[in-house]
This record gives sequence, structure tokens and C-alpha cells, in this order.
Amino acid sequence: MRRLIFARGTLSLLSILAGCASAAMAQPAPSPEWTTDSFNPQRDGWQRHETTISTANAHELRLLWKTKTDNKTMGMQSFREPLVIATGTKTLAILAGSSNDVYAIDADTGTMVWQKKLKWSAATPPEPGEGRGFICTNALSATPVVTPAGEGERFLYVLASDGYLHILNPGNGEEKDAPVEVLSKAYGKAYGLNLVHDVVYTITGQGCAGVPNALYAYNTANRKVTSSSPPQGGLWGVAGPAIGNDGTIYFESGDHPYDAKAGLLSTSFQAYTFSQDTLTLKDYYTPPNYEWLTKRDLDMDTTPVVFPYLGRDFIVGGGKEGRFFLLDSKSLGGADHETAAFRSELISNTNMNFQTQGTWGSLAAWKDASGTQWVLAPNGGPTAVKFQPNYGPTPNGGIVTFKVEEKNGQPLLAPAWQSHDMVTAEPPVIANGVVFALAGGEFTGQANDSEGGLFTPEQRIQRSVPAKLYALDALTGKELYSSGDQISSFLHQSGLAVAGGRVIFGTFDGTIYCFGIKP
Amino acid sequence: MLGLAAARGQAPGNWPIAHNDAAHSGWQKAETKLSPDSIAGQFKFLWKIQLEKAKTTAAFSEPLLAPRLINAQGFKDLVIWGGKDTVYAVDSELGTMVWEKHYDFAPSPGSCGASPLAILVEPPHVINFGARRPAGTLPPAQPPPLTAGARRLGGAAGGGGFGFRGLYVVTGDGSLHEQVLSTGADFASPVKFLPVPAGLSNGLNIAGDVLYGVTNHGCGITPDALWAIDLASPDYPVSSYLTKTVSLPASMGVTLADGVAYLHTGSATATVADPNGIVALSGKDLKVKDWYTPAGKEDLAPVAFTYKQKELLAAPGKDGSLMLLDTKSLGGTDHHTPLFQTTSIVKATRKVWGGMANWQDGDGTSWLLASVPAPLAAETKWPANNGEAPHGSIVAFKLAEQDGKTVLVPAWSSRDMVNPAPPVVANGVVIALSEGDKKAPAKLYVLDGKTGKELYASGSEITTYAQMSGVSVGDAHAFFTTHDGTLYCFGIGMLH
Repeated sequence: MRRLIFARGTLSLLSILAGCASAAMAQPAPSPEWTTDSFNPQRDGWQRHETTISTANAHELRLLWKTKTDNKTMGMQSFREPLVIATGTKTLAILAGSSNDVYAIDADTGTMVWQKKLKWSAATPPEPGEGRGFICTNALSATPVVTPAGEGERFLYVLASDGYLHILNPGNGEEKDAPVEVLSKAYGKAYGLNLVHDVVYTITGQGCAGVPNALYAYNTANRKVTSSSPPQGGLWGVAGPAIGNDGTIYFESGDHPYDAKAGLLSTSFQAYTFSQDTLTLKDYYTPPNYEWLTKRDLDMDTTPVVFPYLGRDFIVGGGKEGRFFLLDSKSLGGADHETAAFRSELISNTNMNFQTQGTWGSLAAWKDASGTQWVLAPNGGPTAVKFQPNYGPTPNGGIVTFKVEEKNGQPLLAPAWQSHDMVTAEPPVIANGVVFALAGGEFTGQANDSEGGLFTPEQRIQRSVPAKLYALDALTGKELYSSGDQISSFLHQSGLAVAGGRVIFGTFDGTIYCFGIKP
Repeated sequence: MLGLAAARGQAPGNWPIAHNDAAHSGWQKAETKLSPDSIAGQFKFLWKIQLEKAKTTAAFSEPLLAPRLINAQGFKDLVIWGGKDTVYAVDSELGTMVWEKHYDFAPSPGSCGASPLAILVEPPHVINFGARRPAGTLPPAQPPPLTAGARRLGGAAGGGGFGFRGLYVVTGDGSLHEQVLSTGADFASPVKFLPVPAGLSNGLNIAGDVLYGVTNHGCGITPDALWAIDLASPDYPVSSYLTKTVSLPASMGVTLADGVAYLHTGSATATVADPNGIVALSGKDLKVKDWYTPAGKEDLAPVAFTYKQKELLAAPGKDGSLMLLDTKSLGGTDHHTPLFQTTSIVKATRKVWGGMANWQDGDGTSWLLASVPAPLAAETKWPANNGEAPHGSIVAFKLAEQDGKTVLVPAWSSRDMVNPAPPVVANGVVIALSEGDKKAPAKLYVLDGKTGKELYASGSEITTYAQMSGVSVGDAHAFFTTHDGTLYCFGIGMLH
């Protein structure tokens, strides 16, 4: 074990010596896996290795299996986004549950292969209850990550709700090393782990349990944990930080006092580098109306998506405001840090409603056969611009798509198609020309107009509706498949994974579903 | 969602009562963006919205401000205004309607015409909603004490203090209504406040659980009086202080300070049994505690403030003067001796004062402002004179100690204004509305609080005159209504 860690450390050191910023990211091996949140470090949600499902046969999708687990929910939360990996003779779907259980299920049969209860490691004992409201639950909140195939021994990294990172054998769930304290206190709220060059990254939001909102890096080579400073507004893109092809780490920040000179970059895109166990702010972009966004709690709240364009990385993100931003990695915001390569008009949320409208979670991006670069995003509520084609009014929201185009030499996001109405769409996934969209069914209202105050998790659960899975044509948004009423519960930011002809996700009631086409 | 909800009552956009606080200071203490250095090039017309076809003109009305509310449509900063029979809540940034609440009630039988609905935003600290449960029903069970780290619905952790906040509304039939401030919904059934239709109900005020209202001008069949309703009691007892034949010129309502209600009752002859002038009343049962007489006859509320550990009132005196009263003994043993009285500031006309305000600058100097809808008397010399003011002006005094006495020292007089509204002040700037008249539209001015120098003057944005209009200021915005029922917003905007 130590030898292997050293080997990984050596690789990391070499990478550092070579200059992280110039090292090309290794793409996942061409196997039907899903090893990290949103498929890859760039968080593009584009499953490149899908061959089983296509636009021609997506209408044949069906429920392959569903498995009920003993997951204990926390607030509204059940599972994080599944991972799908090939181990030996089996392909496993691995899901982290809200109460520090990890489930590994045979992706072909739905039978449990192993289940692991992560041992509490923090000095402070676990507290009873499910946390504080729907924001700061006591749940495990970060999608785990597994070493990509072809990068040596594979480890499954899971950040438990006590703030400790567990390093497991993905094949059997055994702990490969002692847990590492990543967060300073239990019950911080971390988001999707990202693993690049043997460093595991995450971000935290909402200041839950007093854990500072920051970017965290765990260097697997020397077991050192580094965090950015000063603490920020909530960093709560659900897929965690995105990492560019040059190793730059990107995330968005929520509302908080803004003082750029002091490093307080609320409501901004931020870019960091990690070198010699130091996280350094490289660049940032702040929307020129950040004061307004803060005033109305219209945070920048998504995990941005990174994709190559014009020979370098471009980044797209958005937030509750309902506007999208296209940023050039060469200079995120220009000299004044407020000039994006492209800042869209208000795409949605003309009500300025921070609760149910605008964009949440994470985005997706793919390039079609003609070379057109697409960006997709979940959207809450009606849109304010015309998407063509569209499939009727979207009072609840759905998926919106854009093509990256150039006008007068400037790249921009041109609205393309818009899906039909969906209740709380999860971040979409693209695979072999098919977009998989999961209408999570979650009731996302926060203010209780009839009783005052904020809804309790129980009230939001009662108002949620069962999820629905859709397959859409990635070029037109036309519906190819709907799961109808086969799903009996909703889900909260649980995401979905697509690999090897399977679409896998978990719901609030502890059930894990697999839809697909048998190869 | 963030958890930075500012403590209610401290947010820069709060303006819950006419002239902002129970003492009627007219001072927005939480303002940070407006300043003498920030006005030029930034302060401008932002938006307007027509609320009614025509504003009722028979009584003073002032928009109220309530920031950082939350409803199912998101966070809202509201500017609220009471019309003839409808309360309007407008997004104070966007100028769009958030909610309207219409009231059906029989018109007042008096001859004074319609009065704006009297409104007051619930102060941040308390409201006894539980006291309004139906007769015979038990009070709701109290929730168990919170454990460490736990959060109750609407509590502070995570989502901030988003519990209901109320808006009080008195309709012309004398009913006190209570609306949910964020939505306009009825919170509870109305209760009887004024015993009979009110005629003109002037500004509301509140201290603790006691809400005050004033009826005047002999309109309707409700007598001229100050009224107080105890909201903490299930029976909602109402106290009153009747002024018999004395009409109450308290356009903003009663002034409250340290549990005492100060009422300006005009210049009628005073007796111990029927005191008038400036009268001090006990807070809940409205018993006479003290009085000063005779005061001036102007239609404005006194301003209460603290100066060098003294609780003072500023009020109009006779013959166009202003006076300071010590709340410990309003008029001395003979009830006729003010702490200080200026010479005649204003050339005596039909109306010599509009309203007052008090503020303290960064150096600790306390200031008194007054709007004057008439030419100034030549006898008073103003160290900073900002031009001839044949129609009216704002005047400013510094409070000072001279020969062991507290005095008002003339400091500056403003440019000319036609019917200047009661001034308000925010972070060193004075917001002054020249209401205009049927010949001249209103104009909004921003003045340097220390010199009276004009920092901003509106252009042609305001298309008609205003009348009996107060100005509210919060979060770098100023609001007022004009004669045609239009709500205007000027200020330093932000990019949306």
C-alpha cells in the first residue's frame, strides 16, 4: 500500500515538476465507466464510450432492475451520483448514501455485491437528528470518485459526513488506508470529489457546522490537505470543482460580502492552481451586477463545465439568476475581471426567484459529428427567450441547450433547443447522441407563504413528486423515451450515470434504478 | 442559499413608520451609499409606477420601506403605500407591483373626502399574533425548547430570520387590519380600533405592543383624538385622549419616546383640565403627564431626540419660531417656558412650517432641519445661504451649548423650493422634495447636510405636483408619490 502511494506521489511530483498547467489531462479509458461526478474532471457529462443506446433504439429503453437499499435519508437527501466501474468480471454501480453507507451493486443484475458503513472518525461524536433544515443536513454530500482505469491501482475516495476521506478498494469496499481528515469539523457540506494527478479536490458551501467555504485539495502522495483562503461565499456547485485540461481548478461562489482586494470573491467564477501543496488564485470573473445578485440571493451556484474550443479551454456556468456565462480560460474576466467572453441575456427567472428558477447543479457539454460545440443546462421555471425547437411551455423548467458560435470573431452561446416541461431537472447527460434528463420531482420552494418562515425538509418532501427519466434527441430535444410512472419517489441532487447501455440513479426512498437496453 | 440575512430593523432599506422611527427623526441611519461625495453623476431618476388614478390629498402619506422579505417568489425589497382603499407593495428595485390589497368599507360620512389608508410596518421585534385566536380556543401549545444547534421554522440558522412580519392598516371604517408583509395576505381578522368611522386617520405609530393613531379635522363622526390599542391583550382594549374642540394637526401621528406619547395639539388656550399645545401622555392609557403651551399652530409632529444626555423635543413655536423642550419638564413649572426658542424664522403666512428632522453628523454635531413653505424672515442670518428662496426652503440648525443653555444655532438655508415636504436625511445628505403646486411640478433635491449646497436636482422626470407627501429613504433610494397617484423612485441604482 505504501509503495503504491509513493508511486502515486512520484507521479504527482513529476507532474508538478513538469508544470501542472501544461499537463494534458488523461481522458478516461475507452470503457463503459463513469468514474466521477459528471463523467470527467471537466464535468461535461458526456459519456463518450456509449455504444449500446442510440437515438435509433432509445425508445426501447426499459427498467432493467431496481434495488431497494437500507439507506437512511438525511433531510431530503438519499444518494449521490452513481459511479460505474469495471472490476474483475463485474461492472459495479457504486452509490454513496446519505448516512455514510456505500453500496456497490452488480450493474447487470441489481444484486448487492458489497456494502460498507463508513466508520465515524471525527473526535466529536455523531449528533442525533438529520441536521439543520434542508440546507445543512448531516448527510454525506459529495459524490465519491474512483481512480480512472489505466492510472494504476484504483481507489475509491469517499468523503464521509464526519469530514474524513475514506480510501476504499472499489472491488470489495475494504479500507485501503486510514481515513484522512479533510474538513475541520463534522457535517460540513462538501460537493463532488474530483481527482486529477493524484489530488482529490472538493469545495464546501453554506458554512455548515462552521466549516469554512473553501476549495480543498488532498494530495494522495503525501496525505497533506490544503485549503484555499480566505473563506468564500458558499461554493456549492453540486459536482464540485471542475478541472480544466491544463489543470486549472474552476468553481463558482455564492453570495457573501464582496471585497476583491481581500480575496472575498462572492458571486464569481474563480480559477485556482495547485502546486507544491498550495492553492493559488489564478484568475476570476465577477458579473458586473454582482451587487444585485447578492441582494436577491441569485448566487452563482453551478459547477461550471470546461471544454476545449479555439485551441484552449472555455468555461460555461450560470446560476440562480438565469443567465449563462462563457469564459475564456486565457482571461476569465478581462482586465477588470467583469468582462466575460460572453454574458447571455436573461434566459430565465425574470421573477428573480432564488428558490425554484434559474440554473442549479451542474452543466454538460458535447461536440456533435459536425463539430458543433453544445452546452446543456438544467433550468428551473419558464424561459425568457425563444428556443427553437421547443416542446411547449415549461412552467417547471427542463433542459436548455446552446450552441457555441462566433459572431464578429467573438464566441457566444446561441440558444438551441429546449426540452418539454420537467419538475426540477437534474444535470443532463449526453451519450451517443442521446440526452438523458432526469426530472427529479423535488419541490424546491423555500419560503412558506401560508405559515411563514422556511419549509421544513418534511414539508418539501411531502410536496415533491416522483421522478421521471427521459431520453431526448441531442440535436433536437425531441423526446425518445419517458419512464412514465415507473419511478415511485423523487430525488434531491442525486444525478445519474450512463455507461454500457445503462442509466443508473437512486431515489429518495432508497431505491436504485437501472434503465437501459441490454447489449 | 445564503445565511446572511441582516438583523431585521438594521437593514439599510427599513423605513417602517412615517419619518422612519417612532420619534419621527426623518433620519435613515443605516444609509451608506448616499453621501455628499457619491451624489454627483450617480443619483438619478430610477423608475415610476402609477398606483392610483389620483392620490387623495386630504392627508399626509409617506411610502414605507421593508427590505429583505422572502416569499414564494424570492427575496423582495418592498416600498409600500396606502391609497384610498388599496395598499400597494412595489418592488423597490424594479418598480414592479408585488402585491395589492384592496379593502371594502363604507366611505366616511364626513365631508373631508377620502383619506389614504394609514399603514405601519410591524417593528422587527414582536407581534402578538396568538392573542387574536378565536374566542374560546386555547392558545397553541408552545414548542419544546430548542436543543443546541437546532433550528425552528423561521429561525435564524441557515435561511435567516424569515418568519412572518406584519403590516398594520387602518381603514376608514376604523378597523385595524393585519397583512402578511411579504404577500399581502390576511393574517387575522380585523379588530375594531376606532369606535366609529374615522374620517381622516393620520399616521400610525407603535411602541412595544401599543399602536397609536390620530383622528382629526372633525371629519366623520369620530372625535378628534389620539387612540391607542393594546395588541398584547386578547381583548384589544382601546384608550383615547380626546381633544374636544381642538383639531389635531398631527399629520405624521403622535411622537413616541421612552414610553411617552407627545402630541401636538395646536395653539388653543390651555388649561390643566384641557391641555393642548404639546402634551405628554402616558404610553398605554394616555393619561396627561405634562404639557407645554402655547405652541405654534403648525401641522407637524414634534421630533424627539437625545442631545448630550438630554431627551429633547423640537416643535414649532409661536410666530414662526422653533423651540426646544426638555421632556423632563416640557414647559417648566408654569408650562410656558421652553428650554429654548428661536426668534421668528419665517415670515408669518398661512402656513410657516412643513416638517422637521433631526440627525447627527460624523463629528457628533446634532442638527435640526425644518421645511418652510414661506419666505424666511430677514432677521435671521444664515452662515450658509444658498440663494433667494421666495417660495420656501429647508433650514438647518446646529444644536449647541451657549452660556450653559442648549440652543439652536442657524447653520444654512437652502435654495428656493415650492412647498417643501418634510426633509429627510441619510448619511450626510438631505433629501428635499419641492412639492410644487398646480403651476409647477414637483422637484427632488439632494443637499449637502452640512452646508445645504445643492448636490442634485431632478429634471423633467416628475410631471406633476405633490401634496402632503412624505419622502422615505432606504438603501440609496428615495421614494414619494405625486398628486396623480404615481410613486417615484430616485437614487443610486444598481445594475440588474
